[in-house]
Amino acid sequence: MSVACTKEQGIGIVALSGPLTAATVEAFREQLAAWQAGESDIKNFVFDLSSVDFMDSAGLGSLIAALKRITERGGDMKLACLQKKPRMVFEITRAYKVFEIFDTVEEAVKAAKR
Amino acid sequence: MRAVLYTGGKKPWAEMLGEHPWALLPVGGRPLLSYWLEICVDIGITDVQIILGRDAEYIELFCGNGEKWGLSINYSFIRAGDDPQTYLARDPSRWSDGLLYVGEAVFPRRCENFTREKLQILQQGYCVHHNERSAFFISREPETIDYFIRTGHCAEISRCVDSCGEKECCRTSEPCGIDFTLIRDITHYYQLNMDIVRNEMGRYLSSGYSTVDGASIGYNVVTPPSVTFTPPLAIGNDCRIGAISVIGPGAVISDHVLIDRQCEISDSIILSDTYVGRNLEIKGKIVAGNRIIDPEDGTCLEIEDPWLVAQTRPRNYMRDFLRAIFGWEFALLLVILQFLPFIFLYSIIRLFGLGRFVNRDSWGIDGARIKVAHFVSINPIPSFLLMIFYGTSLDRFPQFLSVLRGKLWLCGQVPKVANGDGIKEVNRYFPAVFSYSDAFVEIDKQMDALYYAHTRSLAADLRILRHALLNRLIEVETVSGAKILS
Repeated sequence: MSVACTKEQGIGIVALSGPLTAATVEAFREQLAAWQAGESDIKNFVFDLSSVDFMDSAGLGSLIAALKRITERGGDMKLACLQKKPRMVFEITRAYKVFEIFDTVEEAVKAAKR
Repeated sequence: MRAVLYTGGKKPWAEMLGEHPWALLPVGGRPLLSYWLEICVDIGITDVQIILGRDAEYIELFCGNGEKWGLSINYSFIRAGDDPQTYLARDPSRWSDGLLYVGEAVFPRRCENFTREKLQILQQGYCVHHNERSAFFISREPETIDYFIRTGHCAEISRCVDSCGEKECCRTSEPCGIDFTLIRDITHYYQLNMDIVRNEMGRYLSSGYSTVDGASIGYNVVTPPSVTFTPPLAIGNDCRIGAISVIGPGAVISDHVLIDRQCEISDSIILSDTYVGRNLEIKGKIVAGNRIIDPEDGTCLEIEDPWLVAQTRPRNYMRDFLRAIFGWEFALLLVILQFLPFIFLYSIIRLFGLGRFVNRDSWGIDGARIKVAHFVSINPIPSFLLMIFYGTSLDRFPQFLSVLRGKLWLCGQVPKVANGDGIKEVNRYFPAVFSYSDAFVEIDKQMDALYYAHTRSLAADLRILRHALLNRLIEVETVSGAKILS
């Protein structure tokens, strides 16, 4: 699991790559936390999941934990480019009701800026 | 007349549904093969030959000797490289009295005007082809049968007809009220199931049954009152549905399915031996063990996550044998380690009147009535001595002896009290000293008993043992403040 974090128009873009599963959530959490520690002024985030081809309940849990942390700080978190298989996990777990999901990163960024 | 049903061969659409042989995949809640066996019964065929493929044991387990249908079923394999046609040609004289042959995943879909009498029309000769392969054939005419066996075709049966409005390559003299639907792909399979359960279930019911409520529910289906059924739906046998779940409309659930609490299942097919985790929403999907399939585009998500969906497993004697050996040896080790501490501590406990063992009548292994010793504390305030006794599992010492005597498993399900037919609530019963209720705080005993029966393994037993033994020590430490662990 690799996490590439950038800042765009004041929004944190977190691009995940690889399967987000029980085996990789720790790496995801660490990399995200390390970046967030250095960019404490960013409140809103867009998670680009275009390269996440697989996700299990642990991966979903890590996204929910990230959402919780971000909203506790008064920010917001959007998801973008959800692939078919992770989307199925979102569907069956009803996680689509928890997250705002957009087809593209641009749409998600636009929504996050509002 | 004899029937030859070919259940071998690979069907790409069925491959993604896991280990289930395609002939046993459910259509409208019942295995495809069962519809064929019923046709045999309706036509008056008693001698059925099933040609097996790689999943032979499942087919044999389901059909047995055919007694269930009043049939005589025999099994055979075809030689490597042979096709069913070659098998038929090996001894043509066997089929000279009449032959019903099914060689593909064909579903005998009953039209609205179907009656059993119309099946007699079939015997004049009927044939369905798919990609130049014979999918279905029936005839009583020796010449027609001979031609079919030699060529694999039935050109002598003349006329093409529309059946249920769908033009297939079927040839017969007049419509017979059955549309022989060849299942082409996963989308077709899903749609067929939805059509059957939503509109056509009544056409397949035995006399005496009714479809007024649009629901077909098998036997031994355990549902708490809080479950909501929204017909139409079909549920197989030996299923357990957790509280506050909503099933239907359009749910086709096979045998041995566990659905945990607060689930919503609609417009979906859940194949047998599947566990659906807590609070899931399955809509417009096929779930087969740990696979979730979107029937619209065939996307298959295979997920190793028992919190979501999981494959429960059929009976495996070698696995149970290994568990029995491990359990017995581990119980022996515990008895050796605990013998002197038990004698010493229990003597003191009895001397001070702190507690004692009481026997409860329970169902043991193989349903035998046994007495299981349970430790009962007489003093409501737990003393340090009792906590040690409990924390080191000395209160289970007599039960370990029961394991050694072959009356209990070491790990399994909570033994059922022998006061009724509670044992029937679980299809597979493994009464044991330790169960999930010892290992985990949040439990639903009935659900866990069923879950264990399906997922039991040496690894599961080790997990239960580790958690159960550690939990007891930790609880003692928490309650007493004594640093027993250290």
